[in-house]
Amino acid sequence: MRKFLLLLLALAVATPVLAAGDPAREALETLRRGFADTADFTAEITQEKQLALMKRKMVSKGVIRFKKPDTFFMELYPPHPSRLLLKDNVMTIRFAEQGVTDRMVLPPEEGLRKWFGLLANPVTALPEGVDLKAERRGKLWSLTLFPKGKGSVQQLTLSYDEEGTISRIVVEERNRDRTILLFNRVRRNVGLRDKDFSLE
Amino acid sequence: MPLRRLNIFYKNAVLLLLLVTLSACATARKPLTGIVAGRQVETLQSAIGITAKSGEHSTSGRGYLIFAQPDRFHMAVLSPFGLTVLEVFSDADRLTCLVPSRQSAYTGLLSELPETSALKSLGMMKWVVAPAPPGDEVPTGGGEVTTASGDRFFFDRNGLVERKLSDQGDEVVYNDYRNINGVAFPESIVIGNSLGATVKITFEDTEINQPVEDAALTASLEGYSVLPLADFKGL
Repeated sequence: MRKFLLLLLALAVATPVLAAGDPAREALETLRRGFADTADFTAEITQEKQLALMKRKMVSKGVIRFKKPDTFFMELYPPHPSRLLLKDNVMTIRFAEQGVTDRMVLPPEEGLRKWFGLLANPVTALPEGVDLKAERRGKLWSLTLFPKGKGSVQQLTLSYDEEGTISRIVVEERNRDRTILLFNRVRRNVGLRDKDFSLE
Repeated sequence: MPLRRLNIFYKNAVLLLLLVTLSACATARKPLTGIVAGRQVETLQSAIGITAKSGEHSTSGRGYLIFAQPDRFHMAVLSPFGLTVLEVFSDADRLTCLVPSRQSAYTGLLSELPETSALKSLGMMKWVVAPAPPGDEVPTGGGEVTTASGDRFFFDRNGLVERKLSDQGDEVVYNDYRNINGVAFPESIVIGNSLGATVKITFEDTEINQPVEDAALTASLEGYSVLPLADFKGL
């Protein structure tokens, strides 16, 4: 799960070194600029999990919120409600109905503060260990990330507009499972407060 | 997630699968509305939520469960972002655990594990899935039946098993039966052992006795490093 977040962040902060006019360069720069101009954002999400061996999808709905410099929040609604808070490098997941709280401390180098701090300073290299493919259709970008080596994620595709506002993320796993995250009502710089990140 | 918590979760979650699925068929004795006499759970597919508690430690998760008689199941456990973090396949005595993030598979026979292995708790499964006393032994209007083996079954007024106790202190509680395709099936089940550890499974969008392809119950090890089951220590 944390690698999934890191993949997204790595894309967001990477300033490409590809030749000018390269679609991947422009796609990455669009995404990075969108994050750099964002102090906070909130969005409603729909998560569709399609197991390769199943005919039906598992569908969850919820909300995500982010606030600089280091706070990410995701709430999933019933039937299996949960709240996840990533505060820099400390991840806490609260299952209120069950009265359960899980907590995990990530290595400091994987903390959100570090990653989003990089947004202000152009990076001179692409994320290591990935291949990229970008395509633009009108105002909509599609950027696909192919992690090299082992790991459960085979490819990850982000769809976003020219302002870097993400509308969809598709994760293809090596076991052929697929997860689609749909973003609706994305709002930026709305002045989120601490209570918007409450686990209770 | 701390390793210890995951171990608690894992050892209990794996156990639960069959507990719930198999035992439910044994409890469907008296009709809810529309219950078909004699119909049992042959296959089950359901989204699930799992909560395991042991002492001060607890953890929870969600996933998917596929089961087919007599003893095959496949459970997928998901992260909050929807990625698959663990898959467990069971076929008779063989258990296979897949950890996609490491592309590692752990497979082996439960009977070959050392007695100290946490996976040995699967032995409790046999007790949980053991059938309830036949319908003609169930007291009219509910009540208790003690079997020759010392198991105590508690029936509700509809003749459905509310809970079962072993002489070792293990307990299974079935909550909120529903009619699913003519079978009485609980919305949730709580397993407790004599040491105070509990596991609760809730079921959502459950399908009973719908076709299940063999591939859905067979672990695909392509691309995985295959290791002995005894080496699996959690996520």
